[in-house]
Amino acid sequence: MAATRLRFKEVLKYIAVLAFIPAIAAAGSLVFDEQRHILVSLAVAAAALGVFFLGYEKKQVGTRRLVVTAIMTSLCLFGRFIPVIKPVAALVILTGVYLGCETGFLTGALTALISNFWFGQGPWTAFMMLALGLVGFFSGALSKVLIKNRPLLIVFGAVCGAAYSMIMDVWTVLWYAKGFSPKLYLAAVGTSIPYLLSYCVSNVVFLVILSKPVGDKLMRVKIKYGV
Amino acid sequence: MAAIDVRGLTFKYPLCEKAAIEDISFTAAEGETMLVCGEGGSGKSTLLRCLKRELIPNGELSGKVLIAGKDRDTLEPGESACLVGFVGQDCEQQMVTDKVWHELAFGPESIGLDKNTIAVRVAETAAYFGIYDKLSKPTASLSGGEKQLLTLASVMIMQPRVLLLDEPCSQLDPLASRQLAETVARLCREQAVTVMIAEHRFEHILPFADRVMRLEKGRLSFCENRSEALKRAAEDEALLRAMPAPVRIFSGLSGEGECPCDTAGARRFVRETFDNSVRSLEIDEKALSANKALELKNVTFRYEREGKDIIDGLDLEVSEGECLALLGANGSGKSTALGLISGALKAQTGSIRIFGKKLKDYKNNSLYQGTLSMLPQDVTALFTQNSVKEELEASHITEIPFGLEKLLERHPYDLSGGERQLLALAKVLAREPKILLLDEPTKSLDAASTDRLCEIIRSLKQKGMTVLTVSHDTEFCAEVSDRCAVFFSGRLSEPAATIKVLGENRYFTTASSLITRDRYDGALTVEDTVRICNMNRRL
Amino acid sequence: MRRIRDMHPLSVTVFFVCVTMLAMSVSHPAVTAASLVLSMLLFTVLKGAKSIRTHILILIFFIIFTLINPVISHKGSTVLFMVNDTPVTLESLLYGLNAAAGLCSVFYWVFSFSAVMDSERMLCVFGLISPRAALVASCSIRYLTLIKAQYRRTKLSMRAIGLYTDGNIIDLIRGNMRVFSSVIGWALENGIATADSMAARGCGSTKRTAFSVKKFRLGDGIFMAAALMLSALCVACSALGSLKITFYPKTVLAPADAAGFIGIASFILLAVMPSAIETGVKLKWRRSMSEV
Repeated sequence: MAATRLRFKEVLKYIAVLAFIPAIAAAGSLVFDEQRHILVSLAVAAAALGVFFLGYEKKQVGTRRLVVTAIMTSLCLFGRFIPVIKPVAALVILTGVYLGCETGFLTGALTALISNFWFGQGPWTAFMMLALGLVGFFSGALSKVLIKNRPLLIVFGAVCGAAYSMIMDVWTVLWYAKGFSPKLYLAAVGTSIPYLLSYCVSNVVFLVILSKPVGDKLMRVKIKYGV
Repeated sequence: MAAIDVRGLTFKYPLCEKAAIEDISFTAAEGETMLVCGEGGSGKSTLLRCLKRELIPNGELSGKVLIAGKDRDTLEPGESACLVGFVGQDCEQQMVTDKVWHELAFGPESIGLDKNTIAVRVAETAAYFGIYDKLSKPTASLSGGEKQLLTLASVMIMQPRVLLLDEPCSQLDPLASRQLAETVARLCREQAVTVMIAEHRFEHILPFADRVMRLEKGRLSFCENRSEALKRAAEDEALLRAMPAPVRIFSGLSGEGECPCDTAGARRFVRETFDNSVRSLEIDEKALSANKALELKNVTFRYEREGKDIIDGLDLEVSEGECLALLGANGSGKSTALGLISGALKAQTGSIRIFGKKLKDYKNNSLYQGTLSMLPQDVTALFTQNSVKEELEASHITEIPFGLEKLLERHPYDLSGGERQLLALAKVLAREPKILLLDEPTKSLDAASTDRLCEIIRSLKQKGMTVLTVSHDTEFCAEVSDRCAVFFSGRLSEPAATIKVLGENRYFTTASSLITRDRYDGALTVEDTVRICNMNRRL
Repeated sequence: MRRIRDMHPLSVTVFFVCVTMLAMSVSHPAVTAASLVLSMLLFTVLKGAKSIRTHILILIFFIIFTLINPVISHKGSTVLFMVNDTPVTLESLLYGLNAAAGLCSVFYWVFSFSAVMDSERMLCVFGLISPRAALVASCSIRYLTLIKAQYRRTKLSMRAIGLYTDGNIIDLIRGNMRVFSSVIGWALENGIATADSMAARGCGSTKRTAFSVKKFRLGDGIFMAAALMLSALCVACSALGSLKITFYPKTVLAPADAAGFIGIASFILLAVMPSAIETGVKLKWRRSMSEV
């Protein structure tokens, strides 16, 4: 009984989060005029983050899990200082896969928030938090499949890299043009292809190298210290 | 009413057949200081953790624990956190936040005190521990000793009645451990806090400990007041080895009456009991080899372009087959010098020659293949694998050394300090070096592991290994080194025979040397002292 | 009154969020122009002579942003000239100019915000939303310094037994991976000690107090209320359609009416507030110092 209720809640959670992205576009184009797209999308991103953080506040989370989350976040932060190829998303993915959706989301979102203290804080922070958080969330959601199947994990990493880049392109367009226009979006995707490739390559490379050592260490923490 | 009342405490880790601690009962009165001693794995740490509800490890627990008359298990969560304070090994790891004021406020915040109370507590605690001027500083900017004080202060801000310290000095240098011990003594005296300290080196703690508890394989062998415990120690070889020099000397000479536990007492005992007709032991002076293993000339190094020179015109010659110890205060450049010699850091000026060949002429890592290798201060830095076996395989070790066979399946982080050191040493020696560099090798080792390390170094020396060690531990230097040199402001003093350096220095010296000074010459170790005193026994 | 950087982080954040959102969404040229000028003024007041490099950087951005639109968008009715048979129109140039002013002013607001808020003040605001996530964030900032130091130490240790070399790229990558692997293990194991120390001090036993050395004073309240009221006023006027501008096919500004005037005035008042406070405080200090 308890198990089914938990499942139902999990599914609800997935739907809630999944619904946010189309909501950004839909609500923006239907309800408001073109000029407000950026405000709407920011509001939605902020709301999504707010819902998550308030939910997180209510949950029972062990101190050890808190600290392990903090450590994975700071390893990601550390990774963001490496030039050109960055292990950030790969680490967020591994965190999600081994420690679950919530920890994955939190690690991604906080990495974006904190690293922008050095790389520049601004309205785009909310967008980055959501994008990177979702990478962690989905890796947690697909954990059962990804944990056993390494090639799939690597493909997933490449997809995440592309998705992250394309979500951030939405932001670029909204920011410049205020309203969303498919033509500008294609142009933005086109100009950001080098970034897209660098994200994909970084994720693939680092998942190949890191998945075993990081995975082993996270498993040990999970088993020995009951995180 | 006792501050701590423990009845029949037993604890078993999951998947273990034997209990980690078994049927332990004792009481401690308010304001009492209890020293908990025992070898690694005797259950000291488990016992302390079982007294604090938040830290009880996973496993089977039975028995009753009363703290200030209340059952540990029925306390309110906040009350339980306040009543018992806990300080662990590594102060760096126990800090949570990045600002000093926030670190102090962390505990009160966690138990939901109101903001005004928190402000008052932070203010008074910072003032009492003398860190008020550091409140707005980042915790990273504090020195090692200050960090340990802050850790203690941020536990004491919860106003605990009982303070548990689990090897608080193991990561500290002698100066900082003494400062910590003094602060704890002050807390007992002025605040009537009940203290339990588990420690494997207790020369600073023994003088103010009221009682000594001895654990052996998870069982309580005794819990007595200090003078009684010192008497019992005379028959307990393992415990005796861990005791400070005055106690070991007294017991080694089968002294009668009250056992001294400080230098002054031991000096009085030696003066009143023994003659000084024989002033010194014969010393078999070993001539140094003419071949130089290491030559440093006018080496200068700084970390930053605008920084100050950490190493400033360093000259040093180490002969083949000798063991040279470098002494010096924290930050005097000892470890940096090792970094330069090992080639991990690059000197800005000067020349470093290894076996006559310039350091930079060792191309392609050839320096580390059969010439030189270094054991770092923090040996965990060398561990990347999931078990001892994998670690050894990663270093291509086929013949398992140092009795590591028993530990093959263990995770490197599950080993004790001494075992970790042996594993790291095995990895370092797998490179078959001719020169071995050691950076603080005895830090966080217990007495038995230190003895083991000394033995290994001596046997390596016999095989012709050149050893260069940096250490705060003068007892260790006295045991293994042929010559010593003292670091000061980036330079080294002229290296001289250990017996001369430690025999003449007042502060960089051993307790035995201070005890026998003016009466005998060159008695640096407890064994030397016992030998020379026996030669001077009054008839 | 106190300087902006000494004010409570909450009211500072509320101000900057309001002003940045308005600068991003209202495209009336009077508002964008005022936003650009006043944000530049604030940044200069805050940073003094050190602001020159930023000004040059933003000027370059301004030119690029202005020119992008006429290059990719050829809408509009007034053709200025033809390049390769494609028209460059006045409307699209104006649109680019207006968008560039808006974007650059957002940069200035954001930079000023960073100048008055350090990570500690930021986390103080974050802690109001989610104390627990803020705790995780502040832990990870602390751990970042520790990890950096440990990475350096581990590299030296490994180098000294020949496990890390930077001879060629393969060795370099292999060495760094070895170091990284060791550091991850170290961080996770030591993190457990941190977690125990937190639990020992009652973390997780009840709801946390968000203690901070900063106090929310009357001045902070007034500043925040003023920021909220002025923004609300501006939003209301904008919602009435008085701050509307259309660029295509012809540039048309909403007719000037009372609502439009109030909207623009409230935005200017809002945007000038921090610079005025900064300057006022500076003058007051200078006067009181000369009296001493």
